[in-house]
Order: sequence, then structure tokens, then C-alpha cells
Amino acid sequence: MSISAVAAARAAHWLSTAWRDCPGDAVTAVDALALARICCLLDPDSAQVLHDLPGMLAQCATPAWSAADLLSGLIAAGTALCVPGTLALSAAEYVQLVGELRSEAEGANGVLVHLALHGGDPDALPKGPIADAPVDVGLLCSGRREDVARLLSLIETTTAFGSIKRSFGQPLAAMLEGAAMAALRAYDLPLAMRLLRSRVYVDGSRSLGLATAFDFLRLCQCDDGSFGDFDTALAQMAARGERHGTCRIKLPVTWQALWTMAELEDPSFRLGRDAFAGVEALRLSERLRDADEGTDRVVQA
Amino acid sequence: MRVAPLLRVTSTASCTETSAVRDSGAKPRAASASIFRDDKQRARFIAGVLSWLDAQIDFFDPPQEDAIAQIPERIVPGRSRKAFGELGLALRLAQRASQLREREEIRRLKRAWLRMSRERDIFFDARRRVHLVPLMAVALTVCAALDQVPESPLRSLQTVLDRHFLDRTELAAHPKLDLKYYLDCLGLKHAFDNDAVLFRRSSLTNPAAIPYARRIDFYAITHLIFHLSDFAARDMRPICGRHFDGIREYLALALATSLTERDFDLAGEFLIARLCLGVRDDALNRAACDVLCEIQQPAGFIPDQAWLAGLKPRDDPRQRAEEEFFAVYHPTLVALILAACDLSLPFEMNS
Repeated sequence: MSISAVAAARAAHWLSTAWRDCPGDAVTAVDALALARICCLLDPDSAQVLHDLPGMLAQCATPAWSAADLLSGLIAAGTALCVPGTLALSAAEYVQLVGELRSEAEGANGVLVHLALHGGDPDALPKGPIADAPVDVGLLCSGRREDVARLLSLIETTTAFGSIKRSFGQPLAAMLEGAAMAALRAYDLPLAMRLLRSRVYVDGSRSLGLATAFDFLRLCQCDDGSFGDFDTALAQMAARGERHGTCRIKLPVTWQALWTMAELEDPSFRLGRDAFAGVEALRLSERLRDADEGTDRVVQA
Repeated sequence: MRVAPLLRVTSTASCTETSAVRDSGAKPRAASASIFRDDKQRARFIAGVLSWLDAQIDFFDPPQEDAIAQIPERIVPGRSRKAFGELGLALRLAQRASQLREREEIRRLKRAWLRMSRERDIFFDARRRVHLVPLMAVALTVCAALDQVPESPLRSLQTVLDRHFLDRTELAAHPKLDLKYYLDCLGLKHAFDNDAVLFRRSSLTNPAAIPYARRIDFYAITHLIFHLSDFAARDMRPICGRHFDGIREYLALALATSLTERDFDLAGEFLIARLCLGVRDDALNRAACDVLCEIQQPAGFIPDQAWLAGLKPRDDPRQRAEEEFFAVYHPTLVALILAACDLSLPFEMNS
């Protein structure tokens, strides 16, 4: 059993207990569904959480689909569509909306919608001019977060989140690792993990940086199975009277950590492709296609 | 009275490109191997650094030692003496490269450094100012490289060492090796372990994981490498053995980390450390060098993190200039050492 699979099993256990502490929180519902699906992808023995969760969610308010990250939204929608009832209806509405906006989705978001639409098949992606866009490593040293995000988006787009091999010259991989180390030193986990995933998209070879980062993430998993040490932030949220702090902070970090660990550990696993290749994804792509055709009909009329 | 060490000083400490090649026994380097993209880029970089150092020379002036009425044993180095010593070290290394040695700015800086060392009487009361002894050792190696070693302070330092204190205190490997390097250059007797033992006890064999390492851990790594390799004049492979490739990989990752953290002082040090391990013709080095050239300010200095974050506003222009000087002099001296190592690397190790 891989380290990521073991981590996924522990995370699934955390999810099943943590969710009971914050029932009805629409904001975290999408991330909870996405995490459940990712746990199942990495550890098929964790299917119970995926089986139980929609039932629990069905008793809550409608998930805040539009507030979610697109990837977690699409993964969660694929899961929700399989569950008859109000959850599936709200997911269908979300997918309908994404489908209608598909033509406007650019860059990495456009790639995600395409992957979802075509069952994770990267060959179905349109080849645009961005595929040959030059990569400027200086963006990682500018000190501006938006420059780093621009570079990462370019890598995610041109490699379809690691589904397409593209050769990048040195020292991009080394600089991405360095930037990831810097983000880990600042405990900026989402940025660090995004940098690490981009690092394996541009160069799959093993290195000290990847081994160090993998260890860092592995050791970020708490005793309860969630990822990240945010005691101070959680205490501050509690002092302000904010509810559901643990789930709101830890759910996205946990599914991103599992995603990153799995892609670092197994070069053949790519979430952006593999999450949209199953039965749930088939329903998702059908819905997206329906929405797309609906849009076309409106345009033609 | 010990005479022999003085003879050794002049032969060991005044390193030149030729002697470094002879000592290492390695093959001479290819003339084209440089971390700079071309001669023009390097020339512009060096001109900027030297112009700034030349303009700031007054700030390097150390305290008037014979006018200090403090208890000698309690006098500690402080930033002013440290800056003076570090300028001397950079000039000592610049001596190794003919392209730097022959420049008028370097000659002017050397003259100014030697003049200040005499006028400020920097070796005053050396036998009691024990906290200043490490800096005095550095200064004596500078004297050896730029001029000649004054005999009296050298004997004073040996007396201090003979008291069996300075080389027997509880220290990590890197401060021991720092001091040992200069004592060896001066031919002084001491009780420090040899380089191989200090290497084995150092963090180089098992460096701190980069996500958690403190800046002091990084400086320990770079300084260990500087001194074990005599600033790129000595092949480190025999000492590093099986750790050599791992150290190289660590340095690459640490360099990329410091660049993205915009810590240009550390980035410069890691770049020098990579040169010390024979990594030159490399895309990461070039990218790092490009970043340093881009960040070099019009006045010629290389900013550090404090300068980039914005220094405290000061009404007094002199205070403001001094504040800026102490914020940026170190990365700028590191830049000069980088250029010196780039120009004077004596052997090929890429293979």
C-alpha cells in the first residue's frame, strides 16, 4: 500500500468524524465531497465515507457550489450526481452553470472543464497558442504572488495538469522546487503544494527537493488524519465566534495534500485526468455536454 | 620566539592563481567557464560593485582601537569591525584574480584598507582583547595577501592560542573551522581537529531540512564549504567522499530557495559555494547570476532583505546613509567574492 493510500485512509476516517461536528455547513460541503472522492481514488477501501457522506449532506443546506474551487467543485459534482435527491439536483444546476460558462473558461480552468467533459482524456484538449508559450523562471523571483500564479497557471494549462508531457528547459524544475521550499518555510501550504505539482508536471525525475517536500507533507498529517497544524488560526477563529473553523481550514488543505502526495509518489497518477475517468465522471460529462448543447442551441436560435 | 610561522605566512596566505592550481593538483579550468552570460555582463556587475565600495570606504573605517578605555576582555567585535574585516577578506580573494587585482578601484580599496588598519591600530592590545582575536586573524591573512604580516600581532595571537582557551571552548564545527582556516593560513599552532574530522562532525554530512532550516544553518553550510575549499582553490572531493554529490544537490536546492525568497545575500553565498564544489557551467547558476545582475541597484550595491522591505526612515542624511550601508554592504562584498571566485577558479570538477 502506498504512503498516499495510507494517508488517504486516515483522512477518510477524519472526514467521517469531523463532518459530524459541522453539519449543515454549506461552505465546506463541496470540499468534503471532493475529499471523500479523492480518498476513494487513492484508497478504494475508503469507499464507506463516500457512501455515507452524501446521505449526511442531503440533510443539510444546499452546498455552496459557486464558492468552491473549480476542481473540487467538479469532482464533488461528479460524486453528487450519483446520489438521487436534492444533492444531485443542486449539483446538476452547478454543472449546468459551468457548462454554460465553458466557452469563457480560460487557462487552467478551461483545461479542467475540458478534462471533466471528456472523461479526463487530455487528447481531446484543443491545442492553442499557449502550448508553445515561453516560460520565464524570473517570475518566481519577482516577489509578486501574481507572477508565480501566472507561471503556475501556464504550466497547468500546457501540461493539462500533468496529463500531457511537455519538455521545459532547465532550470525551471529546480526553481519550482526552490519556490516550493520557500513556501513551505512560510507555511503557505496551498502555494507550496501547487508549486510541487507543477514541478512534477515539468519534470518527473526524483530529487532531494521532492523527497524533502514529500516528507514535509507526510509529517503534516495530524493524529486525527487531517493535514496541517493551524491551532493558532483556529483559536483566533473561535475567539471571533466563527463556526466550523476546523473543516473550513483543513478540508481544502487535506484534499490538496492527498492530491499532491499522490502525484509526487506515483508519476502515473494525475488527479485532473483520473478523477474524471470513472462512472461519476461519466455522468458529469454527460451533464456538461447537455449544458453545452443547450448553449449552442441558444446561440443558433 | 617563534620565527618559522612567519615564513610560512608569506608562502601560504598570499594565495595566487598559480599557487592554488599547484596546491590542488587538479587540471586547469577552461577560460570560458563562467557563471556570467558574457564578459559584458560580468564587467558591468563588477564595475557596479567596485564603484559602490569605493564610494562607501569611509563607512568601513573601524574604531580607533588605542583610544578605547573599556576593559579589554569585554570588547566585542560589533558591526563596524566586522565590516572592516569582511572588506579585507573580499580584497584578499580579489587578489587571486588578475582581472580584479589590476583594477584601479581595487588598488585604491587596498591602499585605504591598509591605511585604516595602521591608523586605527587594529591589533592594539591583542593579548587581552580575546574576543577580537578571530577578526585579528582574518586581518592578518589580509595583510599577508595585500602587503606583509606584522610580526608582533602574529606573536600575540600565538600567545593567546598557547593559553589553551580559544581552541578548546565548546563550539560547533563551523566556527571552529572558520577560525582554524585563518590560523592555518598564518601558520599558527592550535589544538583544533583537522579538516577531515571537522567535516565529519559538521552539518555538511547531514544538513538541516530546508523547509525548517534557519538562516544560521545555511550560513554554517556556506562557511564550511568556503573554508574547506579555500574559496574554490582546493578540491573538496577527497574530504567529502560519498557526501559530495548530496552536498551539491543540497546547494542547488538551497540556492533556488534563497533566490525565490529574494534573499540575495544567501543566494550569493550559495552561488559561491557551488563554485567551490566545481559546479559552474549550469543553468541554475546562470539564472541566479541573471537575478543578481538584475537586482543590482544603479549605485552598484546588492540589496538584502531589510533594504528590500524598506529601511526605517531617518531625518539625518548621515544616519540614513549609514543605515543603508550596513543593510547592503555584506551582499555587495559577497558579490565581489563571487566575481573573484568566478575569475580565479583553478580546476575543473564538472566531470
